Amino acid sequence: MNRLYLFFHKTGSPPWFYKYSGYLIPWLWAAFLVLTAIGLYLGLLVAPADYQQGESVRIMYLHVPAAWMSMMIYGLMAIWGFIALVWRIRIMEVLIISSAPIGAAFTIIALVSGSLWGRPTWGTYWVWDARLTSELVLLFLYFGVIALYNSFDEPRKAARAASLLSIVGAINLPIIHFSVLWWNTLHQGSSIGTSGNSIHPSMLWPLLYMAVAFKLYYGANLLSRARLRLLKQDHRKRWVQDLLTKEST
Amino acid sequence: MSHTPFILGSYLIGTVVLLWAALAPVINKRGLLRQLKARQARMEKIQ
Repeated sequence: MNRLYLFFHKTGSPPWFYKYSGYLIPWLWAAFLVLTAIGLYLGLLVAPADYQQGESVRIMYLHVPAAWMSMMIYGLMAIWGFIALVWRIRIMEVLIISSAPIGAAFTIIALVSGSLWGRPTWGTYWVWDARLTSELVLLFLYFGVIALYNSFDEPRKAARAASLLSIVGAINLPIIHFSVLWWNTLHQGSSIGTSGNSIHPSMLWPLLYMAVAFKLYYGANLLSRARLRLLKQDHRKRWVQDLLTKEST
Repeated sequence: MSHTPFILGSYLIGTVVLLWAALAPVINKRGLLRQLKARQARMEKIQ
């Protein structure tokens, strides 16, 4: 227990986090670019068209990983929000507010690509279907976290409010996931699950490559945003002053 | 109905959104560092 506490204490230290995350970021970007290139090549050029949906199924390699990310990021924000509220670890607060714009970006991509996929498949860009509506609510939750955080002058208070909204908003995640089962929706159910896949490997692999690539993108972008926020919050502290002096010389 | 505009549109919008989300912290950090360095130089002059 003591070791775990020490680990959190060390990794939660802003100068330590700033230093070591800086080493990690270029590797995450490089891995993201490589996996995206493979995923796009397989998805757009190698994978076959769907027997019912035709070529429009290629939108899946963007839409599905983006939708997964939109939910995963909000889930992480809720977990970090809980940790931030209980143990008052500042890095967790920084991670929550740094995650929100990235989560919003993935939600926008999921909604827009889904809409563009819906037109040739369903014959409409939008319906007030349970899955689509709950995903739109998720976008508003991301905007809500960002707006709530920015409405406070004091960052610690702002983070506590944002943490609380992240935790409360997490109720929407099971609603999004189970919406296709609980209600009659136009949106199809899951093709990939713990009980098995109903998707051919030629389509599954590009999807998995893109899903991992988006996770790497999130990691790199999150660390960049968290470092920026730490610099902003700690600009009067000794470690930032030392960093600036080091960079100037 | 050709599906190409829908596919290209999706990937184009996806690329723009991801690029914006990736570049925003880089641009903001440059501005912040410039500002902090200028302030540090001013403080050193005063001292």
